[in-house]
Formats: sequence, structure tokens, C-alpha cells
Amino acid sequence: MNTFHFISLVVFITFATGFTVAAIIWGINHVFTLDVHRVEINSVNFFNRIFNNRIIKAYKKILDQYYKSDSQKKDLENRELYTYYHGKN
Amino acid sequence: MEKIDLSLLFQGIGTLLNSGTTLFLARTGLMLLGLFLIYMGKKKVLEPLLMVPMGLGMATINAAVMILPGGKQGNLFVDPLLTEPADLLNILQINWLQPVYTFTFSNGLIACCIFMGIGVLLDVGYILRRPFLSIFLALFAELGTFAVVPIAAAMGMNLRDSASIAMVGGADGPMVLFTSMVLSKNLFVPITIVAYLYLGFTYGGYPYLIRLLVPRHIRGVQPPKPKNSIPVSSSHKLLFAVILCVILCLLFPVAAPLFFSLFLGIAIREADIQPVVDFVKGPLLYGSTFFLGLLLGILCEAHLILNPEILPLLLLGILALLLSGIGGLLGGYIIYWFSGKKFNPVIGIAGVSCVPSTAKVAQKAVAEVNPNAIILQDALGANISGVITTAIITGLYVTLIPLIT
Repeated sequence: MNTFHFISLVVFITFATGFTVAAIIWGINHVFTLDVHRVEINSVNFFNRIFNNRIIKAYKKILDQYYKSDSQKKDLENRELYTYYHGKN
Repeated sequence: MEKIDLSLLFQGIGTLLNSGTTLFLARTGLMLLGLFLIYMGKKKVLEPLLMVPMGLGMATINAAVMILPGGKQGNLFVDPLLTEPADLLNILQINWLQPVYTFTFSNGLIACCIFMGIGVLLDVGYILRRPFLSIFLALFAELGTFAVVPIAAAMGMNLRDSASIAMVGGADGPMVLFTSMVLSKNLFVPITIVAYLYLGFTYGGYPYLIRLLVPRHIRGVQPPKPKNSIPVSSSHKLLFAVILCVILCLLFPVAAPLFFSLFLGIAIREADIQPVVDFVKGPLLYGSTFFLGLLLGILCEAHLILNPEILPLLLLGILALLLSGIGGLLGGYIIYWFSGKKFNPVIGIAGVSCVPSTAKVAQKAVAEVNPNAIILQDALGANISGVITTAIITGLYVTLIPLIT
């Protein structure tokens, strides 16, 4: 085996071993990270999602009710009332 | 009254004047170099912890040459070339640093102690967050360790010596010491001296390499923080140390003492055994580094340094470190381009595993351009990975080369 072949072999094994070690570290990190922080982050995300959905639903409900009512007329009345008290400018 | 020979009375001066021009110049030059190293250490250009005892040792050993019984020139510090047990036993009772050299330096104990200390200082959380990135950078920063082997072979060195000097590119003193001790006992002393001398120079030389290869506007890039970054618990880090130590020792038993020492340090830290942590990171680490520096200085004796094989070693050692630095920056550039120019390529140089000097050098180079940019965490991740990749290469060289030569 000449020097070039030897170094090629060393480079190949080093890269393979290096990335294997990285994969092991990643695995350890992923499998054994069932600690409080991860649970906390997941639960915060979960509750955020539910909470956001509820807000959106409630907002839609109010909006529907607003459109179903005579909203444009009410807006006009409000504007007239505003003009009456504060003048046009 | 009989005439007194002054050169015998003041033997340091006598041996200096009577030993020929080459030796005179070499001794004087080494004394001046020793003083220069102390100055550079004091100015913090080079690592003072290593350079001050090394410089003083170098200056002193070249001054304190005397005529030993039998007419041979020598000193009362250390004789590194003794191999016969009977001679060694005699000299252990005479040379005051011989016990330190024989029982800690030449068997690698001092390297293991330093590794243990480094382990205690390491926070492996950095590598746990981005393992692939850190290992990728560290692998590129081994360019010198790979490339110098064929270059040294082309210069006429055998594979064992080539691999030993190429390990300087890994910038990991204990690994160089270990490899040369196993593979080329004849060059153990000069290679170790060259390695540690240059490791001090990474602190002074790499900032210039960064300035040369990384334009100013790229140097100031702040890399993005990892998404959903979960703080790594100490039990998690301890688990990492235990599993990785066992796996690496299974793969490379030859480098097991070094792996064990490093991961033992990490395990002690993460298990929070505070009295031992304080001992290892204080007296053990600083004591070992001090004696290492002292011994390296003492080993820089003119007779040893004038070995004709030392000049190629000096050239190859600096070439290995230079190539490793370039390789690390190249790895950084690859990530820079693939991340859409969000990554700072300077982090790559921290893959050269001179813990924690190269990480500090990288952070300092970035802070000069952008004081708000913090890259130290990523740099330390690459730095720790550098130790692992250098250990892998050490294991490979030490295992493979005896099989094929």
C-alpha cells in the first residue's frame, strides 16, 4: 500500500467515523432528551395552538353577528353622532 | 600555587567557548530564543502558562552545560535519550527533573492529566446542540494532519515519522506526544518540542490567517441561533460522555488512555463532584501544564536541537498547522455558502483542536469587526469536535501504520 492509498483510506475512515460519532451524539440528544424542557416546550406549543384556535373561532363568531346585524346603519349613526359632537374637522 | 583553569571553574562559559562555532551559535541562539519566548508570554502574544517556564527552561539548559565524569558534556536536569534500565536507575538519583520526565512525560501521564483538565473545562452542551456541523468543521480542520503525511514521505521520511509529524496539524499536544511515542521513539523529543512550540504560535499566527482569508464584511456575520434550542441537562451530558467514551474505546483501544482521560474529566464535571473538579481544573491542570512547559524548555538543548532531522520537522510542523487552519476556514466557507451566507466561516478555524485557544482566537477576530457578534458557542462546539476527530486520526495512525510497515 503506497502513501496515497494509505491517506485516502485514513481520510475515508475518519470521515465515516466522524459522522458516525455525530449521528450517535444526535441520537443521544434526540432519544434521551425527554426532560422537563422538552415537555414544557411541547405543552406550550399545544396550548398555544388550542388557545389561538379558540380566539379565532370567537372572533369569527363576533364578526358573523356583526355582519348579520345592521352594522352599516349603526356605523353611519355613530359617524353622525361623532360629527355632531366634534364638528366635521 | 597551581594555575587554575577558568574554563573548568566556570564550566558553563568554558563549554560554550570550547565547543566549536556551531554549538556556540546554537546555544547562544537558544538562550536568546528562551528570553524571547518569556517576553512573548508576558506580552500575552503566546500562551504565558506554557511559554514562561519553557523559555526559562530553554535559556537555562543551554547555559548550564557542564563536564560530567568521563569528560562528556551534559547537565544535571534530564537525559531524555537513556534507554538502559541500569543507567536510568542511576541517573534518576542524579538529575533532578529525570523522575518527572521518566514517570510522567515519556509514558504520556502528563498528557492524560492535561486531557482530564481539559475535560473538566469542557461544556459538551455546545457539541450536543449541533453535532453534525461541529464534526464537519473539525474534519475539514484536519487537512494538515492528512496532507502532510504524503508531503513528508515525498521528502524522504518513513511513514511512521511522517504520521508523527503530521499530527502537529491536529494541534493537540497530548495526541502528538502519544503518536510520536508509539510510532517514532527516535523523533519523540524533537517532534514534541516542535509541536508545543507551534501550538503556542497558533495564538499569534492564526489571527493573521483569518484576516488574510476571510474578508472583513464576512468576518462580522452573526450566525443564527438554533431553532427550539433545549437547554442540555447535566445528566444528559454525563450520559453522552459515558456512551461516547465506551464507543470510541471500542473502536480505538490504542488511544483509550486519552479518550478515558478526556471523558473522565467531563464525567466528573457533569456528576458535580466539586472537590475533584476543583482539584483537576486547578492544581492538576495547571501543575501538569507548568511541568510540561518546563520539560519542553529543558529538552531544547543545543545537542538535541542540532539533530539534522529537526529542520524538516520544523518546516513540516508549521505546514501542518497552516494547512489545518486553511482547511477549517474552507469548511466554514462551505457552510457559509450552503446556509445562504448566514454562517460565519471564521468558526471553521476553531475546528483545529487547540482547546480553547482557537475558539478564543475566532471570537476575538470576529469581535474586532462586529463587537455584537457572539460565535464562541459554535466555535467551542467545533473545538471539542476537533479533539474527537484528532483522537480518531491518532487511533487510526497508531493502529494502521504498524500493520502495514
